Amino acid sequence: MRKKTFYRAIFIFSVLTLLTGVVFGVLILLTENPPEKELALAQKSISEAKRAKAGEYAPDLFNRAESNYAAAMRKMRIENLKWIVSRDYDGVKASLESSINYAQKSIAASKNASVSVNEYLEKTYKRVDDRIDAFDSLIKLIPLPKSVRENYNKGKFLLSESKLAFGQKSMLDSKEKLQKASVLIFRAIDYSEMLVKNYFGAYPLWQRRVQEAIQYSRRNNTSVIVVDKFGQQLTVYRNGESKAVFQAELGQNWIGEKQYGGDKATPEGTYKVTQKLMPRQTTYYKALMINYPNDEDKRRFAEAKRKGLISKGASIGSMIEIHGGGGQGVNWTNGCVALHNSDMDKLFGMIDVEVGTLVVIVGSTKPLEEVLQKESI
Amino acid sequence: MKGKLLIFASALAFVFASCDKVPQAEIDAAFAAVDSSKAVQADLYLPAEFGAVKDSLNSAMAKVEAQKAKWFKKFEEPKNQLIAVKAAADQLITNTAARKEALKAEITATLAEVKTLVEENKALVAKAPKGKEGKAAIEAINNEMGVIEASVTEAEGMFNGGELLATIDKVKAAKEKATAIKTELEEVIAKKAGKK
Repeated sequence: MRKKTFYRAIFIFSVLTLLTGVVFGVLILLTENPPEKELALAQKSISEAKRAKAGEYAPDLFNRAESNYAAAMRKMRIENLKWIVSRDYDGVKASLESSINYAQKSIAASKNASVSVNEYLEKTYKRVDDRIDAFDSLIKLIPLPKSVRENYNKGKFLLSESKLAFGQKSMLDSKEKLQKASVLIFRAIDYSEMLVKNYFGAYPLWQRRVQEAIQYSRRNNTSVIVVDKFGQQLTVYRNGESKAVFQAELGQNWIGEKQYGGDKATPEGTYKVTQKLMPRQTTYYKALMINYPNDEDKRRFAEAKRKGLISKGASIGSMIEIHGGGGQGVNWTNGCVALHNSDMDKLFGMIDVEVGTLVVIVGSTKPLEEVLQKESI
Repeated sequence: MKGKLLIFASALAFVFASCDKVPQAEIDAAFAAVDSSKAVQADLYLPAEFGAVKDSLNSAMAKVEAQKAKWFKKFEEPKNQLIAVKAAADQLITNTAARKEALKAEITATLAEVKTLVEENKALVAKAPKGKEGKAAIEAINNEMGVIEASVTEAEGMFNGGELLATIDKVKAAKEKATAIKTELEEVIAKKAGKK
């Protein structure tokens, strides 16, 4: 009896075990496998996209890849909380496939963008460098508002920073700095170019004045003095021939005509020496006083005042000289023309340089094209 | 009979209990270490290394979730990966501190070099020829030196504010510019000496 009961128990146990096994087996078969391959592939794709700097070059696509991956992980955690048989990873798979898709697209877009950024940088560097090469010496020469010169130099500094970033393969940082640099540099160059072009609008008048002075010198067998502001030199002509050329320093704001006293501009026009001043008669060694303001200066000043271009309280200024004290390396006078003391001695020693000598002060004795070409060399 | 059913139930329970447990302690430790490395700006100063650690953490977490989805869970592999992530993130904290110190030293040294160059350039300006070209160059150089000095001041402010990466770029650019000015001045002075 006991034996029979034992065998029955074994039989029941075996049947139950078998049934459990079958049920267990069916459950395993019914259970969906987690998308492990897709997960691994999505991670690999995102890592590749990161290495390709897709986050910088193709941020939209890359962010979609990452957000789809995050969504997949969220969905997977939710599914994993459910009873094992009722889990459904289709949503997870779909998000992972989207993530892989966007990651791969972002890699391709990033490669394209990086090539185009590289090309843009190389082209723009060349363009900016070419313009700097062409205008740097001009910009160094002409008096510019402090802010323009500062911005130009800031631009050049940013250009250096951009090139450093380019060397370190930080292309986007390099691009951002280059864009800022080129704006500052081009604005300063455009301003300078416009300033000089406008200034040279008076070139025919300057040319005529100089020619008349040289002819006067030839006709009267006498000396005339020509001051070329752009060339920063003073030339003495006698009998129509150039006899001496001296380096000259001018007023700080030497571009343009003198508008009023204190504007630190050197006047332009045809003048005459009114006094020959020896040491102790002038502050700067020796001097040739000229008849600024002449009638034309007075007429222009009155008109400017009438039009409200200068303040009502402004005066026309006076005491414009060709004096010594030069060789300081900068345009420093309040409007006078400064020569080195030794050059003043030479000038004073020249025949016919005396009271009444014609003094022509012009913007330039050379045309703009020649000046620009020279400055760009 | 009841005893045998109990044995069977225990056997089944053992089958399920034999499933591994989620390595929560390792997960928490790895996340905390990665967060700490980010807090010390490892993502800025060592971006490639930080990215690798982050990728490894993501991979480990994906493996944890994948294992959670299975009947027979095995967390040994992600657990070891998480331990490695924590170790790497801890190392990253140390390396970031070292990188910052190295950058600080480089910035301090470069700033000192730039200041010396600026002083040298000022001395050279005094010796530079004062002809037309020299005059123009001197005015431009003085202005450029002003920009360099302003950028040094700006760099010092950034340095004090802890923006080391931006500072090093700025001081390197300042050094490059100051060196270029020095070369330009030396060439002009040498040219003048050669003419004599």
